[in-house]
Amino acid sequence: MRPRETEHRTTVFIVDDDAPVRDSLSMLMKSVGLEAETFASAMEFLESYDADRPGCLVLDIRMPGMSGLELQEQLNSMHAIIPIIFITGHGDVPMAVSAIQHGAADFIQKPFRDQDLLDRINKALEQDQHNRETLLEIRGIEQRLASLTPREHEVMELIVEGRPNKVIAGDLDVSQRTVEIHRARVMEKMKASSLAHLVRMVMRANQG
Amino acid sequence: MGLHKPTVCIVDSDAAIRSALSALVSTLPVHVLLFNDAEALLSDMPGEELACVIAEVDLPGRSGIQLVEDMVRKGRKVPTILLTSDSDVPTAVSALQAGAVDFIEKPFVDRQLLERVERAVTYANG
Repeated sequence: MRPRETEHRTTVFIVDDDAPVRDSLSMLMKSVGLEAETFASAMEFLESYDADRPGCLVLDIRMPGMSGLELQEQLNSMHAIIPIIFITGHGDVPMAVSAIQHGAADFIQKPFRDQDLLDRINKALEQDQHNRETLLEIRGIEQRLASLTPREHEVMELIVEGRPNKVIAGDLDVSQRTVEIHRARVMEKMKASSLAHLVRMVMRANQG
Repeated sequence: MGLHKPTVCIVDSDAAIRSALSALVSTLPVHVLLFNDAEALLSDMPGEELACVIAEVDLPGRSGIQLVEDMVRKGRKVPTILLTSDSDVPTAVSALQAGAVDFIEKPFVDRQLLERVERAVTYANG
């Protein structure tokens, strides 16, 4: 197990303008041991939003002021990765389709069974954890990439293309011995256990 | 991009709807193939030239959503637009979660469907 990066606890963030709904959702979360925080408006949530806090967002679609869909748009523009589960009293199909096309994890209509919502929340929390792990991994690779000198970077790109040292030496007009030294430094700085591992890391970073 | 024109597969059990969709989609620079059901498409899937699938949700046999799931399982992430005449939010949600790129209720506006097919084809080529 990797040590935890932060001491933040996974939290279900509940945004609904209806106080009794907030309370009952919050109680439902606590009844199954989930941490919950409630917000009466999208703005209130945004003001305290912290991208480093893991969890998921349970979001009412229709609220005065900023709607749930507008909050989603706002979060997307901030490249937020927190999974969103929309709750709606009168959702129509086009609205559900558009919410999910814009990245929502789920969309559930009232009235729903508690267990149904909890199942979706658990799925969203798993997704969040997975996304965060991927992000951490990519950031780690990027940091290692940034520690390479320009020359090492150049050599690395040629290695990743699968070129043998001899060819790289010719390409860069240096001795094969120099390439070997750069190559060893690249593998060490990148913490790569093999060429395949290095290639995988570079591909991973390029995806991110 | 392959040597072939991008191919759009239409899957619907109703012959009249198949030909109407075919006429509509043929206005785009694509090759159109028609199928009765999901099984027919799955057993005779085009290769890389396959740019988009348009399928009815309520197909006899495997449903449109199962078709999407089967394609994902086969590693074929072909942009799939599902059409439905009798739909609800849970069905729409599971269609998109299964991997469909779009879910359109009938009757739809022709232009709307064409735009979405165009987008899917561009996406497949890009």
